[in-house]
Amino acid sequence: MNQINVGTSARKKKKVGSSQILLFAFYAIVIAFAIMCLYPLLLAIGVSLTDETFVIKNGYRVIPGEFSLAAYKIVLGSLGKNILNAYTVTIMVTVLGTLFSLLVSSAMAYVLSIKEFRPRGFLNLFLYIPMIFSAGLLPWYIMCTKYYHLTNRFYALILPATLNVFNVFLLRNFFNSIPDEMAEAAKIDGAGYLKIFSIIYLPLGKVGLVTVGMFYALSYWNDYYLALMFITEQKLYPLQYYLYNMLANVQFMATQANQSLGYNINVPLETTKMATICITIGPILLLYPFAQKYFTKGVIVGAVKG
Amino acid sequence: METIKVKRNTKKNSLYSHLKKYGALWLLALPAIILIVMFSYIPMSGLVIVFKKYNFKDGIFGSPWVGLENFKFFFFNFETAWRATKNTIILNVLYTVFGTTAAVALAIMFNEIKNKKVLKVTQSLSIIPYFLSWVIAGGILSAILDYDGGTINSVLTFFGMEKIDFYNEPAYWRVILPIANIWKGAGYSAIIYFATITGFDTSYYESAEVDGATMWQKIRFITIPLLKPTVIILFLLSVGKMLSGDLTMLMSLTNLSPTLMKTTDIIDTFVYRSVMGMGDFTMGSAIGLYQSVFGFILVVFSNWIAGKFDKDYQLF
Repeated sequence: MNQINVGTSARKKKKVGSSQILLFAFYAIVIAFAIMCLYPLLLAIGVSLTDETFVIKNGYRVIPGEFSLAAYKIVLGSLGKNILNAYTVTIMVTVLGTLFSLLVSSAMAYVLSIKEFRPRGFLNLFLYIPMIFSAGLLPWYIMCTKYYHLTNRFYALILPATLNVFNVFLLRNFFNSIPDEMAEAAKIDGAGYLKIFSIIYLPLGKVGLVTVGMFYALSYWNDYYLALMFITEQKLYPLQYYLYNMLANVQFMATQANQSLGYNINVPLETTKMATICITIGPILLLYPFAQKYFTKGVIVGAVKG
Repeated sequence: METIKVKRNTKKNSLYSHLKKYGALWLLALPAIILIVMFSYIPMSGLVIVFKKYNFKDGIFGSPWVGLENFKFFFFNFETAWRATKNTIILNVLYTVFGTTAAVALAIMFNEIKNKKVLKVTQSLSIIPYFLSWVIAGGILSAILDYDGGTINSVLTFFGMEKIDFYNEPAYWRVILPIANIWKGAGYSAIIYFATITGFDTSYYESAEVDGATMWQKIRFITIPLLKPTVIILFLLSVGKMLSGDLTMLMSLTNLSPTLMKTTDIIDTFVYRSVMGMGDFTMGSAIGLYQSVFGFILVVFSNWIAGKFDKDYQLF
C-alpha cells in the first residue's frame, strides 16, 4: 500500500492525509463502540463488589468505591439454595435441550439434503410455512396449557423450543457441502440411510453441529419466555426467570432471603441484583471465546442459501 | 399427503415400495414433523378462537360460536389497539433503519482497520452483548438510566445539568430502545457484513489504488455499491416483520411500566397484558388474529418484492 505512494506528487500526498484522518476516526469509533459493549459488564461487576450504602449514596460506578463482598455472601449464602436450584434447572434445560434439538434437527436436515428423496420439496415447504405464518401467542398458549398440559412441567422449557427451522436449514447447508460420493460409496457397501447418517454425515458435519449446537445452547440458556408462560412453581424457575423476578419486583427479592433464613434481614438490593447478573453471565463468558469462532463460521455458511 | 406424490409410480404397491426404500428417512424426519405439527400447525387451527366466546372449561373447540362479536371489543378498545400497532411499526422502522446503518458502518470500519490486534479485540468485544439475555441487559440498563445513581444522571449532575427521569418519560424510549437494539445486535450483524465485504473481488480495490483513490473514495464508490444489494434485500425482508415484536425485550427493559406505555406498548405486550394480566381472551384473540393475518400478508409481499430484486433471496 505504502509502496505505491512512494514518490507520488504532492496532490496525492494530501489525499493520503485525508485518508489518515478518516482512518483515525474509524479506529476511534470502533474502539468507542467496543467500550460501549464492554462498559455495562464492567458496571455490573463493579457495583456487585461495592458496599450497598456507598452505592445508594454515590450512584453506580465501575470502580468499587468501597469494596465489599456482602452481595456475593447473600447470593451464595441465604439465596444460595434458590439460585443453585435455578442454576441446576438452567443447566439441565440447556444440556438436555441442546442434545435433543441437535438430534431432531440434524435428522431432519439430513433427510432434506438427500437429492433422490422426492418428498424433499414438500418437506421444505412444510418447514417454511411456520416461518412465515404463526398463529400468534394466544392459540399457542391455550394449546400448550390446556391440551398439552405443559404447565409446571420440566419439559415445557424444552419441547416448544426444540426445533428452530432456521437452524435446520443451516444444518442442511452444512450437510449439502458433504460430497455425495461418500454416501454413494457407503451405499455400494450395503449401508442403509440410517447408517450413512450416523457414520458419514454426523462425523463430517461436526463443524455444523457444533455451530448449531451453540445457537441452541445460547437460546436455551437465555430464554425466559417459556418459563414466563408455563412455570409458576419456584422449584422449576430457570436462572433467567429467577433473575427477571428479582429485577422486576423488589418484594420477590425480600421474601426470598427471609424465607430461607426464617427471620428478616435487610437485603442489599442493588448490589445483590448485580451480583446475580454476574453469576448468570459467568458461564457464557467462559464459553464465549470458543463460541465466537464457530458463530461467525456458521453465519457465513448460513448466508449461502442451499 | 406424501402418498399423492408417490402415486406417480404406476406400480401397484407404490406406497409399499416407497416406504421400503425410504422408510428410514421418514423415521428420521418424524420427530421434527411431530414437533412442528404440535407447536405450529395445530395452534394455527386454534385461530378459530376469534369467533368464539372462549372459556377454559370447554377449550378452544368446545366454546360457543359468537361470530364477529369479538371484533366489537376490538373497536371498542380501538385506541389501545391502534396505539400498540403504531408503536410496533415505529419501533421496527427505527430498529431496521438505525440497526442496519450501524452494522454496515461498523463492518466498513472493520474492513479498513489493518491492525490485526485491534481488529480482533474490537470485534470480540462488539459481539459480547449478543450473548447476553434481555433480562441481563434490562438489569444493567437500569443502573445506567436510574434517576438517582444512574451513570447518565451522574454525568449530567457532574456538568451541572438537570437530571432526566428516564423511567417516567415515555418520549425517551423511542431513542433508548433502538440504542439497546444496536448495542445488542449491531456488532454481530457487522461481522456478517464484514464477511461479505472480505469476499469482494480485490481487483477493484487494487485498480482504484493505482489510480490513487482515497480511502473514502474506495468506500464510497466500491464497497457501498457492492453491499447495496445485500442491504436492500435484508431491508425488504424486514418489512415482513413489521408487526412482530419482542415481548421479552420489552418486559426486561421497561418492566411493562404503565407510565411508559405510550411509546412502549407494542402488539405483543398488549396481547400478553390482556390475556395474562386481565384474563381477557376476546381482545387478545382479536388483535392476535389481525397481527397474524397482516403479518402474513406483509411477509408474502416483502418476499415478492425481494424476489423481484434477486431470485436467490426469495424464500418461496
